[in-house]
Amino acid sequence: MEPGGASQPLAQLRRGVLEYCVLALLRAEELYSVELVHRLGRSSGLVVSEGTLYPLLSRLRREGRVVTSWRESSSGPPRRYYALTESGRTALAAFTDDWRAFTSAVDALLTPGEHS
Amino acid sequence: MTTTDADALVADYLDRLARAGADLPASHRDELLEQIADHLAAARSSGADSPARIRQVLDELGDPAEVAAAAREQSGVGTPGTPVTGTHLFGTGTGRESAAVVLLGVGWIFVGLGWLFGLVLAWTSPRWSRGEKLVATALPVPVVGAAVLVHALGSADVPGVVRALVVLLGVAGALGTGAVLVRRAYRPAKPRP
Repeated sequence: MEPGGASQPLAQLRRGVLEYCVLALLRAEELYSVELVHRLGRSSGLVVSEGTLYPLLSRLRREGRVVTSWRESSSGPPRRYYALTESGRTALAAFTDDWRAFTSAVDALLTPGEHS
Repeated sequence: MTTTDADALVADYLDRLARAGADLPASHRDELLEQIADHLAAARSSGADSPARIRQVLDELGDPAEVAAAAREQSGVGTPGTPVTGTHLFGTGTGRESAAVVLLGVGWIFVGLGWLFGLVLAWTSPRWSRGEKLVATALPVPVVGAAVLVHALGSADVPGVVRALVVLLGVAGALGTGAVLVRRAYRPAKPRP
């Protein structure tokens, strides 16, 4: 299931970019897993099936991009929080540079009259 | 509208997810089930406890088959019915390096040709540097050296225990070096400049 019946190229782009969106959300603060999933799901519209994000979070943890910790909650069960590691921060910085170069190159080609 | 209905919906969803993810590595499947159970417990503790609200939360999570498929993709496990491609086989793990170490370290003792296969695997590795490939190439040396030494001692008056020890040291040297090489293949990719 793809948001808004997106085309195949967009679906593949989204798949490649999603993990960096996770890292970007964690850049400033630790986030509670459910909050993190909601922000990528219903808030951004990047993902329709929120459940598919959990395996991505697990892989990022296995790869050492993020770490998890448990916190007590005043309402309900303990909560699993995600935080960025140094390796995650480095990967995010490298991707941010690549992404800017990539989008400006594609934008230049997509904008009529900007190239011959 | 009872809590029991909500319980049944949650239990049914987790059950379907467990079955859809049956082919995942056990630790990955357990972690996924725990994450989804936490997600549902959090939703219920923040008020979504009527069957209608639970259904909505389950809907937002997505079909268990879809969630399991995402887990399969992130775990590097092939989709059922889809042949495992070369990228899967050698792209995510270090199968190539491990096979090279086994073949070059001791495999050639049993099958002489194994040495050649080991060499090809080692030198086509995307993870090892040139130096590491050279060390891998030299992996048979400790065992060959031990064999030569034992043979040379054949005429001398040396107890069998010492000869066995020499052979053991040779094998241990090859396997120990091999283990270090495989570990090095696991290092994370260097950050891009």
